[in-house]
Amino acid sequence: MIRKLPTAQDTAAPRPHAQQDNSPPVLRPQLDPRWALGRQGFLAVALLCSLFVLASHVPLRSTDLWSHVAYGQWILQHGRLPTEDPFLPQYAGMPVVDTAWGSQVLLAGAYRLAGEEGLSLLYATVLLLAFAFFLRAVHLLTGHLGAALTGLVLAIGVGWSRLLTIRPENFGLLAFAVLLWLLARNERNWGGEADELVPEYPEAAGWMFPAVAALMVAWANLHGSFVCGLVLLGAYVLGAAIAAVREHGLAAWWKDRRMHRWLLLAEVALAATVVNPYGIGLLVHTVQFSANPNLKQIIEWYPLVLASSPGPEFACSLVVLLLWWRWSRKAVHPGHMAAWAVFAVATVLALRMIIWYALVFAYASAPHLLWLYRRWFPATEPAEATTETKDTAEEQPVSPWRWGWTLAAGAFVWSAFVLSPASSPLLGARKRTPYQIYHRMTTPYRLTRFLHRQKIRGLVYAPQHWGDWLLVHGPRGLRPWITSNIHLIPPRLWQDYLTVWQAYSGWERTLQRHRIETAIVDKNMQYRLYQAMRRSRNWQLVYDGPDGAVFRWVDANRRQSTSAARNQAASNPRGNKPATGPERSAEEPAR
Amino acid sequence: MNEVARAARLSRRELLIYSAVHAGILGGGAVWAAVRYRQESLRRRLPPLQARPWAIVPRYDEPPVIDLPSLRMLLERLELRDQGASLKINHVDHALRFLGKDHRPKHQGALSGRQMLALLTDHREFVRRYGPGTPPLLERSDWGVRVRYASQGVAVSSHRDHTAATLAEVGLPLEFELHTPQGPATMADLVRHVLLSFELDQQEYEWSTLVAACYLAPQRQWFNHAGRKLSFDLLAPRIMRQRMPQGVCYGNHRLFSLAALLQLDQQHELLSRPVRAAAVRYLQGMSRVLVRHQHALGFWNGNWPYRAPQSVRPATTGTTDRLPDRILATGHALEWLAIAPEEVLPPRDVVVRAAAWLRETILGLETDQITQWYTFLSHAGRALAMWRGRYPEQLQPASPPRETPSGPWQPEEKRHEKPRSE
Repeated sequence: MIRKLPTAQDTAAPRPHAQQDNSPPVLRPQLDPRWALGRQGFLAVALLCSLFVLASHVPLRSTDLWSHVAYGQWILQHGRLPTEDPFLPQYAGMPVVDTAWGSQVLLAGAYRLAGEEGLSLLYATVLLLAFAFFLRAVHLLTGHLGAALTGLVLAIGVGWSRLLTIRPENFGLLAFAVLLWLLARNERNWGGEADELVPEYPEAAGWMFPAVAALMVAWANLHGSFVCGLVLLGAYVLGAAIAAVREHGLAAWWKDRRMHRWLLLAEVALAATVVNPYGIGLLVHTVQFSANPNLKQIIEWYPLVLASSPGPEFACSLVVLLLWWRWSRKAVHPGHMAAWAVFAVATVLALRMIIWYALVFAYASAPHLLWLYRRWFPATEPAEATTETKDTAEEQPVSPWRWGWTLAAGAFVWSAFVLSPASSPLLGARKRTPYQIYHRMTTPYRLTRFLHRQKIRGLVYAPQHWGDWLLVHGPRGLRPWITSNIHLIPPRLWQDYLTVWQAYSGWERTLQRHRIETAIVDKNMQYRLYQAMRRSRNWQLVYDGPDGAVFRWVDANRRQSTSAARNQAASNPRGNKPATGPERSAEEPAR
Repeated sequence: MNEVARAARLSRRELLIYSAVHAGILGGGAVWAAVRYRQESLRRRLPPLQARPWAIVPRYDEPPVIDLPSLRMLLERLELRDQGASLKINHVDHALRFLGKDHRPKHQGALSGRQMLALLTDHREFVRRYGPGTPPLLERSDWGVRVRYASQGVAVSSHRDHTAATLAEVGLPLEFELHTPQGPATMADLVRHVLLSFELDQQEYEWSTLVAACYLAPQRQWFNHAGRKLSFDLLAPRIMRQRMPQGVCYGNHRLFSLAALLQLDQQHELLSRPVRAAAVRYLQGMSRVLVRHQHALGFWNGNWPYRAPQSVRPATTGTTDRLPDRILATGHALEWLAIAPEEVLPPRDVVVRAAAWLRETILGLETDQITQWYTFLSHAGRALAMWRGRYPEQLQPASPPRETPSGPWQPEEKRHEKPRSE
């Protein structure tokens, strides 16, 4: 990296007293001075590397990840997209619009190439890229690496709850960060100059049109979150209109060039999203998706509650951003404000939106945070951090200490690689055990081995958060009742599932109606059902482990048909048709 | 106006160009989305329905099962007596299906087919009998007209889509006028509600299946309100999935619906070959179980899938082996067998024994017992008539019985079975 080069003294004309110069030879860096990272650059590398290592060790959960992998495998195998769920006959007839087919193929490809480690590596890489783009975006916006690092920490601090799970949404996160990076390139240093309190609202540059269009094409084929990108661009349109009104009065917004350019950019982005296998149908489906009634029972679609995560993070961010905006004399970017408001409302309505909100919050707050920092700590502002233009960087002599930080950053990168499971094949490290790869608390690994030993097949009841796992890791021929593809579940089937989940009256009859003869119960989350099944004479406990329990149906009616008929005391004087089965719900119609 | 502000303002020409581009992109997108939406809506629209429902007809005329004089006598005993405001809609439902819409009662005080039909389809008649404070039987719904049903109550149907299936089985055409509290409607509205609200996993699907088959054939599929594509190929496995005797009336209604599907499939190819084969195998299995578990005297009880009744004397308690349970199990079994294909049937002596037991039992019942067990008895009476190749309505003097096993309301041109294409 640094080597001994001929010095200026060697090549230039001999100077007087050259013979007496006994000073050691000067080392000159061969690398561009931009590689001299400095302390903040090192911190940025260290933070990203640490995130990569952490992400690569995040255990795989038994979530929708596995049905996405299964879908991806199916697409790779058949060379087309499924029109109905290819695995669960009980979803037959429900149309599938596969909004995440691109991500599914990538996940399946990683799984095919390197198994679970491949998924971990893909996840860590995608997160690393997303954070790197976001860091760079804030850096471009503020021109200050410290502000960018703070922005990244803020984004992670607010949106961490959505980052711990491997799912196609991660690809959407990357696309969102790339979009922010493109926007930041367009409004470079908007928030950096302390003396410019009301900067000009930026115009969408010409290069943004192809760049945003290409991004949106990729995004629309990776995940349904591309709508968030459209919303962000829409916020910039709104911001331009607000800026025009603020500058020239109410009538000026429609004649404002910036507003039209942003609107055109948003339209181009919208048009780009129809480049997908479903055409405009994807957009229509994605917009309608959140109206699916089944989603109301899914936690991530719940409205935000302040008492539980991510409510406190959201509330804190709300308060501090308003305070920062109030204290900072820098004008609030109308586009940032509009985006922040839209994503804040979306998060209040559905807490899964917190990750998009977190990025927008950090991005919008960084310029003001930097302004306040400079106001409150003027003496601590290092000179190196305020100058980021190429020209000035080249003119200034680079301190050797800064190269030291680069060296340290290189060592950090290597350490991160060594510590991540990705290095195992190259460095010969021991492979991770399944208990290290899979999330111990949420993955029914032992239970699944039992299912394999018993060769259990057919339709089984399992909680939806295990359905995807069982689809991929369960014995061949085993069909979970439902998976986490909640939007595909027919409404009545979903109600039946919830009846059994809570062990409501009629749960046993419901299972029999669907002819489910094996039930897998998550004891931690379904203790009521576990107890009810243990009490039932129709269900026999065949596995009771720390991760869950397995029950098999026994035909108690067959065994006790005659004696039950004798012993049952209930009469039927009204002539209603008698019901059969172990239990009868009060709500059910007469038989 | 400063320099920057001036630069940000568009000239009139630029404004026109930008506006045209916006209109082009957004307008084009909106038109495309609208066209796509319309295409999807059209695709999901209900297929054309049959103006008159297909009839599910008795296939066999077996004189040894019951002689016609005995049958007539028995049917006279099973006329539905008018009980004023305490008359159960459930009984009216069964009686209409059993005796037909043209039934003319022999007994004074018994309801005619016309009266029963009016009670089920005309809210004004309903109010006249049950009073204005009673919740109506017919209601407007998002998709048409629905029939209120509940497990308890007098002026309410007992099962989901039972009334709709009854009206289908008695052959009401789509244009038949219904009167709801919200105004007039037609039978088509009722059928539309059944089809659009249908869910494969609903608790009772037996009667919905019948309505769908009678009005939809030869269409094989439709979309429900949730956009789910439903077909008879999905319905038949659903019917077969549950274990016996789960389901209404010890599971016999499932078997009746499956046998009806097979019958209509012979004419309209509602099912794919594998599903049809599976359905036939399933019914054959049920038929074998009936043979195995029949009591020597000819009856079955609520445990029919498990074992034969152990004693001649019926139990006095419980819900499986009392006398009404035996009537229910035996009558329903004979009913679905009467419309099932030949390859499914048990030996004839099984049917003859069951019919003989039913005949003797029914003729020996007290009037109160008939009133109390009317729903079970209506199935038994209908089954006996169907084994003589006709419906009870056709045994009335003015309406001579048909010799061919074709239903009374089936259009002439639609009776012929189409050859099954390969």
